[in-house]
Order: sequence, then C-alpha cells, then structure tokens
Amino acid sequence: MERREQRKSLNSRYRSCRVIFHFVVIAGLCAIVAKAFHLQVIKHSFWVNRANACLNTKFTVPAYRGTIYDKQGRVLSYSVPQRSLYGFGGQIGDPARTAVLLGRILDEPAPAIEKKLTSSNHFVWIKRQLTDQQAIEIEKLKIPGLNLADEYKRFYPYRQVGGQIVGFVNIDGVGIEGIEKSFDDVLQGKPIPVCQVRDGGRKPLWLNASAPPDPAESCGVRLTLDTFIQYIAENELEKTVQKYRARSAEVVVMAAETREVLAMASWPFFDPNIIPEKKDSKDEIGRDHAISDAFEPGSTFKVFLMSAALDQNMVRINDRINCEGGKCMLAGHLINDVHGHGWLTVQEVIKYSSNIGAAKIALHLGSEKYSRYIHDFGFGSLTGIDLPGEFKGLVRPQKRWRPIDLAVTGFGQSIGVTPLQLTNAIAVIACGGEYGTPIIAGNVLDGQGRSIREIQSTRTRRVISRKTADQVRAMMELVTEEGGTAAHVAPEGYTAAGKTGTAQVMDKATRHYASDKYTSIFTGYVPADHPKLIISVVVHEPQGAIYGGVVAAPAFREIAAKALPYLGVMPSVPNPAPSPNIRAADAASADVKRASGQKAVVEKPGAKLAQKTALKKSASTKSSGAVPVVAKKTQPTAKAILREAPGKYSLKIGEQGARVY
Amino acid sequence: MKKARDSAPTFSIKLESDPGFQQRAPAPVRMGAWLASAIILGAVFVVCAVFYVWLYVQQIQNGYRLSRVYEEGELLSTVQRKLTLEWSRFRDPQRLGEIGRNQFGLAPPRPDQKVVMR
Repeated sequence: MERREQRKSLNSRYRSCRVIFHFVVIAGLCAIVAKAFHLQVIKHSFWVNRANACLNTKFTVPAYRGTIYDKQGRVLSYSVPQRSLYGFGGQIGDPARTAVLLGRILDEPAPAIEKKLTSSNHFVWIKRQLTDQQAIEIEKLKIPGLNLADEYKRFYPYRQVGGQIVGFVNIDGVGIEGIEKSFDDVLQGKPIPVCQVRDGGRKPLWLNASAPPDPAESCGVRLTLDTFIQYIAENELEKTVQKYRARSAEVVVMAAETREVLAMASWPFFDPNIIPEKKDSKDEIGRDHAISDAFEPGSTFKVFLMSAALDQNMVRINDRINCEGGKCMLAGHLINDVHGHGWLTVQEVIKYSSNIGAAKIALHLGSEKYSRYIHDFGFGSLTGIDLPGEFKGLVRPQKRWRPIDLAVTGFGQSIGVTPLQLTNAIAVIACGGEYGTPIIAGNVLDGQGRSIREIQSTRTRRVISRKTADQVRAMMELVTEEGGTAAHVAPEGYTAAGKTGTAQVMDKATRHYASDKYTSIFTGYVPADHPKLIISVVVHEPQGAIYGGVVAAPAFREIAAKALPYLGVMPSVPNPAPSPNIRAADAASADVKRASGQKAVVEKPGAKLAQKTALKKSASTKSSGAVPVVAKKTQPTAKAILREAPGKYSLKIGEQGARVY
Repeated sequence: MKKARDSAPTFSIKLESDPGFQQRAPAPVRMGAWLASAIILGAVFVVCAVFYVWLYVQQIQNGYRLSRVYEEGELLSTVQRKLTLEWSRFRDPQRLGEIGRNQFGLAPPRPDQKVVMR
C-alpha cells in the first residue's frame, strides 16, 4: 500500500515535472518564434535598411566636362581624370613623419602639410589634381588616414593658341573666362550616382540586373575658330609687337559671308594651362582685349562716314572738297592733315586719308544722321558674340555732341570701338550693306561628337544700300593701290581693300592727347572683288613708326598671304614668273605636246644641250648679279587681259560663236 | 497475419472478380516505397539546394568579376582620354612650326616659289 502510494506520488511528481518541462520548452519555443516574428515581420524594414546601409554604397559614374573643338575638329579643351589627395586628421598616426614623406613627393614644404594633417577638421584636402606619378607614389605609402579621390583636370593642348577665346576653369571645373564660361551650363558634366554592393572587406561587386553605365562626356562645343589661322595671326602679331616694341596688339580675322570669327588674338597671349595667382582684384587674367577694350579708330572710321554721306546722298562720288593745304580751323579747333592737299575728290579723301576732308563731310552730314549710322554699324552696342566680358565701346550720346565732336568723329577720334566691332562694321561694307552678328561658336555637340544645335549669324538690318557699299568698296581699293596709304598691303596674287588709321591716344594723367603715343590700325578684306576674309590689326603705342600703313598693314598682308591659300582661295592676279631656280615645264618638249594632243616636233640634235647650256648661263649670271635671260617672260597684267579680245578665254563650241558657261 | 487469413471464414464472393477490391501491399513493400520516395525527394531537394547555392555563389563571383571588369574599363577609358590629349598636344601648330624650323630647316615658301596649278 505504502509502496503504491509512494509510486503514485512519484508518478504525479514526475508527471508535473514533465508538464512543467513541456511548458518551459513550449514557452521557450514560443518566445523564439515571437522574437523571430518581431524581427522578421514587425522590424523587417528597420533591419533591411540597416543591412543595406552596411552592404550598399554609392559611387558616381564620371561625366566628363564637354570638349571644345575648333572648326576642323581639333581638340582645344579636354578633361582628364586626375586624383586628389585628402586626409582625415584624427586618423593619421605620425603627422610629422607623414608630412615629410608627402613633402618629398608633392614638392611642397613639410610644415605646411603637417599643419593640414593636424587640423581639427575631419576632412582636409592636402593637394588637388596630382600628377599620375605623385598618385602612384602616395598609394605605395599606404598610410592610414590618407586617401585619393578621383577628380578631373582641364587641359588645353594648344597652349596659348586661342587661349583667350577658349578661357579656363577653376579647380572645381567651373568656367571662369571665355567659352568655358559662356557655355558652362552646356559643358558642365553631370555625374550619374549609382548604387553598388560592398562585401565585408569593402570589395565592390555588381549585383544589379543591368550593366553599370559607361563613363560619358557631356555636350561639347565646336567653335568657328580655325587653329591654323589663329596660329598665323598670333605669329604675325608677335612679330609686329617685337619689331615695334608695342605695348599691346589685337587682330581679328572674320569670314565675310558667314561672319564666323576664324581668329581673334590679343598680345600678350595667355596660356590657360598656367593660371597665375591673382594678386590684385584688378588683375586681368585671360582677358580678351579684342572684345573688352576700346580704342579710338582714327582714319579707319572715315569709311563709315563716307558710307553714311553717300547713302544719304549728301555727297557724290565726284564731288570735290577743299582740304585747305593740310591745316584748317574748324569749330574753333585746328585740324591737320599728315600731308597737305588742295582740292580732293570724295574718293581721294579716303585714298589720301584727309582729316580736313572728313571733318567737312561730317559737318555737312550733321550729327543726327551721322550718329544714327554709327549705331547702325554696331558701334556703341554689343555685337552679341558668345563671349563674356564684351564692352560696347564709347559713343557719346548725340545730344551731347559739340560741333568739334562731330568734326573729329569724322576721322575717328572722340569715339571708342573694340577691334571686333570695327571688323564687324567693315564686314557690313564688304558684304553689300547688311549687318550681321559675329559668331564664335558654330555647333553644340553631344557626347559622341554629333551636332545637336547649330548657331548661325543673324542678319538683323540693312545699314547702307548695295550701291553705296559698292562705292565705298571701290574707294577702299584705291587705298591699296599706288599712291594710297597702304600701297603694298595686297598679298602676292590677290587683291585687297582696306583703310589705314593712325589715332592719337588719350593720356589718362593729363586728359589730353599724348604727343608720343599712337594706335596704328589697318582694317580691310581680301580679295577685293569677292571678299572672303575681313582682317583688322590694331597695334597700341608702337615705337619707331606710327602709321597704320607701316606698322599694321604688313601684318595684315602676311596673315592674308598664309590664310587665303589654306582656305583654298585661288589667286586672282596671275602669278609672276617663277624664279629661274625652279625648273619650268618646257612647252616645246615632246612629252608636253603628246599630253596636249599636238604632234611632237622632232628635236634637233643638240637642242637639249643648248637648253642646258642656257640654264647654266642663267645660273651663273644670277650669281654674278646680272639679270637672268632664260626664264624672262613677261606675264600679261590684269588690265592687259581685259583689253584683249573678250572671246579669247571663253569656251567656243562649234563655229557659231562663243557661249560662255 | 497468415494465421488470421487462413482461419478467416470464406465468402461466396471471389476476391479476384471484384474490381473494387485492391489488396494492400505488404508493409515492408510499403515501407520500402516510402523510403525510396523519401530518398529520391531528399536527393532532389539536396540537388536543388546545392544548385541554388551554386547559382548564388556564381552570382556573387560574377558580381566581383563584373566590378573588376568595370574598373578595368574605367582605367582603359582614362588611358584613352590621356592618349587623346597627348595626340592633340602633338598637333599643336606652334610645336610643329618649331620642329619644322629647328629640326628640318623648313620655312614658308617665298612668293616666287609658289606655282599655282589650275
């Protein structure tokens, strides 16, 4: 009985223990399930975000700043990755030793680097845009706390050629001057942020379904600038400045029909790869003086006066003006001519550049009409070219003109114009009387170099009639002929038209015209009959010579002589005889006759020997200074060609007379 | 079981002629069948699991590979850009002019050295 009762109590105890054990186990399992439910269901988003924060990282796919090309597709401005060094001050163990190591690589003083490393800032740039070699050497050091970040540096492979037009960017890649600034919103690269997974060792891996985007380039700009013509212009400008020890100089070369600026240079030149530190806020770094500085255009302004006077029928071509022998009192002031003249025709006023003649025409025209034409030619307002910092020039309001102002404005004093304004105004005359905006940027391109937007010059208004333009062009041709102020300005084989200018310079200290400072100018176009290029050369304060025809005109000629053949413009004037040193094809030879379909003449024995002897003789006479005889052959002049029978050079078909195609 | 079957009363209905009647397989056979299907299913499950894990590992490996290839591509793109820049620098007209003058003794042609061919 007792045993049974004992067994019963043991059983019940055992049963209760078992129940409790089961309860505990089940409760524990429930707790686990509940916790799992809490973590996986209720707190799901929290833990997923935390996991993603540990795993996922963002990196930016580079979008390089757009490239700037010249007219022929040459690269003028290009971005390239360059790594920058930064540090976390608190993580560097030995700043002094690190500074010494870095100073040796970066070629900078160690104390300055140590100051950055010990700064209280968590993040500090140590040096931006390292060279590749510097980045490799710093990577090898493996100093904790120092890291390299990818940035982009802008390079200008053509250095100072077109440097003032292209401009430059700051260290953050923002345009500061030139095209870099005016097209900054187009060129600016927009990096693409992309998510990526990193493992525990910070190694990246790509788990997205789509491939990572490729590094792309932002939109670029193709300029109308031709680097070769720009180089020629800069070369000639530098030669002129060095020859005459000038203070500064500018040149603008523009395509006549399209108003595209093919070259625009101002000396001293500027290399955008080398940005000097700005010591003064007034420091002009990279400023394009061809659009931002005004000068008094002098006698070059007479062509605009003449255009206005002829267009208003105030004067006629054959009217004569008394130039008073070179000295005249007008409006209470003495006006001089360089060379005294008596009576000159209107054309001769331009040809001989008479200030008195011009002043009288201006007074006859009147200030209201003259002022209107000045503004219509674009002076006193912006040209609208896509470059920053353009100056609109200095044109006094017509209501404030005194009679002397009207008179002197007739020969280009008391008015300020920029070289670009002057060139653009000459383009009006050269191209039949219509004003058009000059353009420096031709196309906006996409990342692959395809054009997405074309920029063209807009013809906004007619300034003078075509007849007036033709009359003034004829006068400008006289300037480049014998007796004119720029008689030898036409390049060999071409005709040219233009106007010289020699303007006095205002002394800022005395507020009077200086007696020893002048601006020498020549502006014109080539060829004279079908203008292709309009070129203006302005030289400030030359020494030794002052006249535009002497200082500026030779640069005009040299630029035109090299640019026209490059552009494929055929000479209009027949070539002079080639020098005897150049072997010319012998028209009498059998090969030439066979090629031209004529019967070959049987050569007499000894004919070749005679020819060789003649050539040797000519070489010997040339070296002795005597005039060679062999290759002497007079070339017909242009007038002689015109005087000959007109049918001689026309295409004849059949026997019914010439039909010219 | 055999004893019970032997001692069971016989009925008039013949077991073989009743189509509805299906005799249960013996227990070992049934056990064996269960075991075999369990093994097969288990094997299939294991194969699928292994395949799934293999796929996942391949995905991770490809992720690393893709990331490495992308970095190489970026590096090559950088090199290509630097070479483009270098090529442009070689075409600098000032540099070419200096080489022409200094190295090859070239000069612009004089007017009498030019022959126009129409």
